[in-house]
Amino acid sequence: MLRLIQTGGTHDMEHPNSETLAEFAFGGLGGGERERVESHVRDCEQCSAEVGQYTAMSGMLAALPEYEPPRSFALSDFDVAAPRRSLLPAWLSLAASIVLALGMVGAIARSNSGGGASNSSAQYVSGAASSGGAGQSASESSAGAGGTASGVNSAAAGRGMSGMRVVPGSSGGAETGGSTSATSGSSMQASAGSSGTSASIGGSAGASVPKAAAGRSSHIVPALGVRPERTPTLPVPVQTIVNTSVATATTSAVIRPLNPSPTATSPSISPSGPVGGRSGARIEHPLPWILGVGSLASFLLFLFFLIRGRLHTGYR
Amino acid sequence: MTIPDESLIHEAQSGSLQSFNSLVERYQTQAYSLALRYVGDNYLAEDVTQEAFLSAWNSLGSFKGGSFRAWLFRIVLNECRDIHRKSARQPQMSLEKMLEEGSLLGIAEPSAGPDTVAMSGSTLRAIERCMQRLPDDQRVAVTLSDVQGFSYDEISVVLGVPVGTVKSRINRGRVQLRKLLLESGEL
Repeated sequence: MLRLIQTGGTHDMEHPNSETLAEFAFGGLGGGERERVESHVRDCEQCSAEVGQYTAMSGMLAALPEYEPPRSFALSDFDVAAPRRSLLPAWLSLAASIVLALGMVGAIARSNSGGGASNSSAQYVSGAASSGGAGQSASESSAGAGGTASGVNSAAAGRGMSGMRVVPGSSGGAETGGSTSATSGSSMQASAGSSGTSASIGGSAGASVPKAAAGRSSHIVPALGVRPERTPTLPVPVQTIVNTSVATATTSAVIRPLNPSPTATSPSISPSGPVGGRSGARIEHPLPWILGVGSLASFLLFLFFLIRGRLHTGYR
Repeated sequence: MTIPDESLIHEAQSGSLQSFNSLVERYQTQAYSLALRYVGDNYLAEDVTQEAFLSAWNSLGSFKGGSFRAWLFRIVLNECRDIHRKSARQPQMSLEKMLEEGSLLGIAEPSAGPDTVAMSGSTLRAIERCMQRLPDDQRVAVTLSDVQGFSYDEISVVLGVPVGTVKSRINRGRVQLRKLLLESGEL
């Protein structure tokens, strides 16, 4: 049907609208509509001029050239095999970075707390005291800091295991047997982990037991200066109980000193390995650093892929 | 003798990269020209065209027949829209500027065929400039129809709209372009 919306002019008939004239000029109309428009254009100067302009424009558009690309876009085997736009490497990198970061945190936590299974650990086992008059079972201080001696699971009170024992692990450790003050009745054990390369013990009741001669120990052995009757002046935070069953028969708790730094009350400190950044006893191990560096590198790789995936979208 | 598209497509779908590259060589000029007219930047147009051919190769299995050119140019257009939306940068070298400086590497024969009028450089630039001022949907429709000689059905496939919508866009684009050309004194 002929679309006629324009009126006026010298012709009696209504004019086709511009879109119809354009379609007519470009040869798009068919059938009866084309004939009606053709008839109108033949008698209408205004529409005829407009159709003429569209016809000229049609010729110009058809004459517009195509532009030669600067190179061929033929695909190579490499293009087909490795789509560069994929963000998969970035997400793989992110996942790897998360895994490594978690591993790093775990390793650092174990390292700082002197974890049991790691060979970079030193455990302080206390408990089973109170057979003597002191009655401060499971009081422990790290590195002789005066001992804020958190009461830790003194389930074995009364057993009266006096003295100190080093409980070596499978591969190392040595028993010092430094029982120097049986009167206090407090028993402290240092237990190396499963790999057993270290043990740290301190003396009970002011006893000073210098070190645990662990086989390939690389750990600082802070002496414990626990004097039950003495008010601690430098409280040392004691971390959580991590294990209530150590490799001894005694029911004892394992507590981990956060910052076993040497003080005057514990003069006997035997650094037998590398000293960490913090003062005093600090157990170092390259594993966390390796994981840390790996995690950082992985994260940077992730950022690289992410940025490249967003900015570079083509094959140039 | 020119190998028909269908044969090349069939071989490409069987894994022949060489056959697919024959199709690439056949359509890359048109595809690049459409991309250049859409994004108005030769570097972006290059990226778009390359990405489109790679996408076409990867999704060749989904081609179920019909006009391969329309199917391919739909991918090109989608890539154009995608990169145009993502790219915040201004065209480093617009089509108009390239035409003025003569920095386009080459100008191929018009797609519409040999029966075309010769055109001066100034007229060519004026038309391209006016084309660039059209809305995107109208510019693409007019380009496909009146410059590159696609049928309504093919354009319908490329744009993903009904044929009636295609006609409407084309005619509105023509009307608008005529006004622009009148204003510029080219008509």
